[in-house]
Amino acid sequence: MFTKVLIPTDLSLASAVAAERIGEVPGVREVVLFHARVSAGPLPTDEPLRRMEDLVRRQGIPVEVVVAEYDRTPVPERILAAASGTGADLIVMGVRDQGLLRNLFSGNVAATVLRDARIHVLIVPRSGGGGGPLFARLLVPTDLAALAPEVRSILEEPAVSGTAVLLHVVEPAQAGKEQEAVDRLAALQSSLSPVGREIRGLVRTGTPARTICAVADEISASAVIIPRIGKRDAPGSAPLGSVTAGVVGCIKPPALVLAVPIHLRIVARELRREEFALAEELWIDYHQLKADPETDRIFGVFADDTLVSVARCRRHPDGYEVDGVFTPVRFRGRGYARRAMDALVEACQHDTLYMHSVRNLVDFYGRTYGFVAIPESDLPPSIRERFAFALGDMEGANVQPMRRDAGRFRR
Amino acid sequence: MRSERRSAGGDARSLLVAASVIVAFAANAAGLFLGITSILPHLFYLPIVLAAYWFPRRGTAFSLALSLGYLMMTLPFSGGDAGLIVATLARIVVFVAIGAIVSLLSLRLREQEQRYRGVFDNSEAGIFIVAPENAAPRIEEVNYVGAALLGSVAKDLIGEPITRFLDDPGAWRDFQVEVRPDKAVYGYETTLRRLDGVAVQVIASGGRLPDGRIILTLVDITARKSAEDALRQANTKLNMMGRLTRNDLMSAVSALLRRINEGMSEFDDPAVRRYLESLEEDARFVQRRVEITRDYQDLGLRPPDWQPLQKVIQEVTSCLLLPGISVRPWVERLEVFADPLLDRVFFNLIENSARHGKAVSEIVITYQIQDDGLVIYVDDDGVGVPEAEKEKIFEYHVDGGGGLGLFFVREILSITNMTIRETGRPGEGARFEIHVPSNGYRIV
Repeated sequence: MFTKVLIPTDLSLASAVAAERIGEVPGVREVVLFHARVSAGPLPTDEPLRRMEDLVRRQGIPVEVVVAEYDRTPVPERILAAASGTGADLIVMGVRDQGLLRNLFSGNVAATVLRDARIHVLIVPRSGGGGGPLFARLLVPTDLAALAPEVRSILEEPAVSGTAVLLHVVEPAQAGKEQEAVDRLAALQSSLSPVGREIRGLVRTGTPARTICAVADEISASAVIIPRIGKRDAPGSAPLGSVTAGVVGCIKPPALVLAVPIHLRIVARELRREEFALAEELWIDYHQLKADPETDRIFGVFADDTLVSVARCRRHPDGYEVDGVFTPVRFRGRGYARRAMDALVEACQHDTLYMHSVRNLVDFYGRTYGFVAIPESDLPPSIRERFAFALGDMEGANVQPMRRDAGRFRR
Repeated sequence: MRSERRSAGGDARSLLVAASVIVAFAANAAGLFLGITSILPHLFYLPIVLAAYWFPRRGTAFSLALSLGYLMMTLPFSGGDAGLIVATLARIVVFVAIGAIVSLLSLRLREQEQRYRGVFDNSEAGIFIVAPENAAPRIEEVNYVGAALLGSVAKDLIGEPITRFLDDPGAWRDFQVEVRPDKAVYGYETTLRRLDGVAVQVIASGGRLPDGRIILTLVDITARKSAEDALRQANTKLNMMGRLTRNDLMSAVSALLRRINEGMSEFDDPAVRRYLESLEEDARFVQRRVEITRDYQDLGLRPPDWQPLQKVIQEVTSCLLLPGISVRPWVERLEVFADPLLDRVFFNLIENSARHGKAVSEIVITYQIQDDGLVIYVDDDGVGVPEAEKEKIFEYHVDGGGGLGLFFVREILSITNMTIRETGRPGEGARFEIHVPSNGYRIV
């Protein structure tokens, strides 16, 4: 899993920790020591680099030293390019102070690499961790979904001794579900067959990231292993899951952030009456629309079980109106809204549909679904009334009335 | 008994009115002798209000007569005092007005009461008013039909616990729970036990009065239920007959085919062989037809019911092999009232598209609410159905051309008054439109 490792270094003492402890990572066959220069001219001294090379070699691992000349591109970008260029599976970074990772957008090199990497990343702080080998006392937070194969293989790696704690944190809003969590965690645990490692389960209630960090202190974990992204954030476009981002901000021992592949099942379908509350939850950030099962058909896109986008077709006495087409910011950029609209137009194709489109989407609705811009006076009265607040000033409200005549919709 | 009671009540009322008249006159007479003319005339309100309320038809006349009496009594004492006469006349106007108004209100009230009494007494349904006492909810009132339904008469039932007539003692508790103050219950089916032990199946509805009493309306559906049972039994018998006949037919056809095969191996004469081959073809045709009737043997056997269309279609598509075809039903909250064989309808329509549509890549199922019901559309993007075939595809062909699938589709739908036609444009795809009557669909 970690055959080839890239260790980036800024030649500081802190970054040397990575070289010092690389031998504790099981299965490493090859190390690339990488330094990206931040100014032109000859290297003032290569002594730190030599020392690190020596540290690695003494642990019996072949090492290659790469120094990239200054070329004005930001250092994190060059590190990531080097990682993919050398075919590394893991980036190991020694840091002076874990707190630097609190803000992934601070511009800090380690934070940026962690944020944008597409492979596994191990962060090793100069101090912190309960001492002893890196993988001796593992803390493995889990959202109770099936364990990623990468996590599983680390836990099942034959070890002479060692422990691991599988931790699930029940959020305060879900308090009361602890027993269910205990049972599911037990099932997860029994699906593992560790060799020489003792694994136990633990359920706590609290804010996930902070609780994970507190438990890490409590059990003096030697390392925390956590996937880049959990099921909660998978449907979105964030590079790092919110819990993981929180954990790397507060954790003291080394943190291994695993790039696990995410397989989402995306389904567009009409919501059942009892699911209307889910749509309203999404609409909290969109004029707080309320749904009415008597007049509304709501089409939603689900990524696994999370509703990520909705669109509504409402029946007025004098016509059908499309509105509430909405995707929360964190789920945007993945075409979910398009799928919700596809579903709506396909399902409601036999009726003439009216909508108020924001100006920048007029072209899109025209091209994709056959909506045409119409003067406000062509809207059925009850649909026009909904926009009465604009006092006929549709231009000012930045919306354009549109109509789609009944007719077959072909995707 | 009721009229007797009423007249007894009437006598008491007359006496009370008479007594109050005497008291009022006596008091006023005494007052006049003593020179008190102000407070005491108020006593006349009592007989006026009582008489107008109890005897509204005569209320106004009564108050007029009383007023005149009062006037007569006052005049001798007035001694030409215009003030007293004016005060008396003013009182008289008020007396008559009060008498008239109370009479009118009382008359109205009585009319209403009579109207509802009429509804109660003459209803075709049995109506009970039940006082919900904790231990035993007692019948307070019951109309003629209600009493007849329990094989009794109204006077014998008053005061009886209603639970005495219920087969299942828990039924009343269930019913009571459902009749919450804000809610009425309709269409609650249960079985009653008459005093003579005969079971009566009823459909009950109920509502709660503001004072906590429950109005219970019962309709006897025993006859309807028995007719339904009889029909079901007849249907089952017919079905069994059909099954037996079909089995016989099947084995006869198999025997025929066997003999034709024997003939084929026995005769070498080309003419005979051709003849045998055409015989075999005919026999195979009979065999296919029998197989189809087996598929539809349950048609109309079980009663129609509300069916969630999305689920029905999803189940159908999951057992069809449809390589390269995306079936997209958009009927999530739609339920239609249909024969339990509704799945065969969609099975046939989808299979039909896949088989005859050529190059079909998608089948989309949608609906549209219309003024006279709802239309379900089944669209595909295949070659469509030629104009001349649009009606023929649903026909029963004796000559065996084509399948019988669409014929049965139409039959199954027609059980609950649904109709189907093909309206697609040839060359652009087939479109089947199923029309559902207004009472045959609901959005849940």
